[in-house]
Amino acid sequence: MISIRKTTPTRALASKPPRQRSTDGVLAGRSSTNPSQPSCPSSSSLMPAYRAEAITGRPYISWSQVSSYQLCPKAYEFKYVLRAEPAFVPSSLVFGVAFHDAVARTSAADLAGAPRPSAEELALGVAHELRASSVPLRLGKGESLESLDALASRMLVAYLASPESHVQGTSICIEDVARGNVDQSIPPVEARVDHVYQRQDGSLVVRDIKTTRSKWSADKVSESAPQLRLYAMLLDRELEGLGRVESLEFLTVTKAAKPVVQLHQLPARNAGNDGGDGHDGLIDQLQQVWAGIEAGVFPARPGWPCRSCPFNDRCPAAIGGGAA
Amino acid sequence: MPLTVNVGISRKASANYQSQGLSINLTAELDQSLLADPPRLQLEIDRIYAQAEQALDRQGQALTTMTGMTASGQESPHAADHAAPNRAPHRNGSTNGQANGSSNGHHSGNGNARNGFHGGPVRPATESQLKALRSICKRMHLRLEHEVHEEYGLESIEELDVKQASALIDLLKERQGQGASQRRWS
Repeated sequence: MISIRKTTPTRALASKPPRQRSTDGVLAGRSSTNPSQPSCPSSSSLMPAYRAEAITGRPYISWSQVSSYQLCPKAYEFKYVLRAEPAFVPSSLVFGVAFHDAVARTSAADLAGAPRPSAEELALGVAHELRASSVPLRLGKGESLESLDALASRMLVAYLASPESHVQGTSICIEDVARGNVDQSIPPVEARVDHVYQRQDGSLVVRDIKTTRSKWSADKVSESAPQLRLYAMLLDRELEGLGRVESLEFLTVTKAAKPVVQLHQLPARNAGNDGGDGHDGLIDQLQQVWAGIEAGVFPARPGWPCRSCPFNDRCPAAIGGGAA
Repeated sequence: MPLTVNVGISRKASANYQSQGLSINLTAELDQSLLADPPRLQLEIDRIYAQAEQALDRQGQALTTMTGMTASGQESPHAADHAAPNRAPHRNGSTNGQANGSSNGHHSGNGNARNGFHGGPVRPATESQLKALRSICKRMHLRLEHEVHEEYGLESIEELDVKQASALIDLLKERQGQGASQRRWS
């Protein structure tokens, strides 16, 4: 119920407005802490945010969590519920994160109107990250730290030279975190957004950077779209008043002798064929995953991911090197 | 017991050294379970503020039409320079139950005197924007707080919204470009 008491005009004059910055923690930098963590619940009917915090130590779910659960619920349990120490970290993961940081430095320089760092400078950053991991690095077949350094160099040269590295608009978020509610039955969703920019017509574009083994096909783009559609849902709320997310972009850079930079664009909403919400039944998908997590359903799903799973040494179902 | 949220906004309208005030108070009863979901509670409070501001906008426009007065929530250092009204409303907010005290919702985002009353509530500037602004100011030997105050009459960079930050980045970059151009010709 909303009741309105209005007095207009009155003689009540406004004093200086006590305007404050938002404290709900949306759109903060990756390195910042989010102040929206709920305190200890007092009710027996725990809300999703509390449930999530009780289960995973985080009062939210992320796309990483969702895709991790979908790939193998057991691996999800090791990582997010048991919070087990991984035996190793795959080089591809560290490499990807370091490459993202390099791209973000470039975008930040563009936004500030500063000269871009050189490929050499950026590659040094990647090399540093590859050697800074506290968890043992698991190198791929035929890989060495030196070969990864050279690969990073080639990819960064290709990226900096590509016209796609320049966004056609004004950057709003670079490597920022957005958190918000998309449905009452699931915890708040956290998105780590690579890049959001605003076009001249006011519409917003969400861009995600991917380092890939090979060029992406149209099917691969469609398959990956839900992640960005979820981000678009969140950002439509978080950036309400600024503009609406109309386009999604995957910028892929291949990890190859001659890296190829490609930009894949798709609409933020999938018109017509998804039951009407324009988001590929995303909410259903999130609800299903959350229901599994909440109910403690963590079956192992042995298969090709076992080879690169950092918990396969203690997983009874792991293929190729599982626990005895 | 329901959760009661009360938000209040007031603005001042002035012309020819005379002023009148516009104020609105909205009281809403929300589901108490929102206390367990702080982000959602904040969102609900934001929505109530947005409704209140929208109502005040309409009243403000009507008042402008009738009296020629323009509304302002605060004194702007540039008030005399801009024909359009400045909107920076004085907000009062309170929530009973476990969450009490003043609202920490978002400001309207239309403090930009040049933008007048148009547009809805806008989020605070992003970290990326603030970093960019700091970087530009450092390069140009400017004080960001001063620029923010000069452009928008804001007391702190924390008050910048995402639209204002974007516009300020463009403005400073343009100024930087002009400076570079002048240096080339001098």
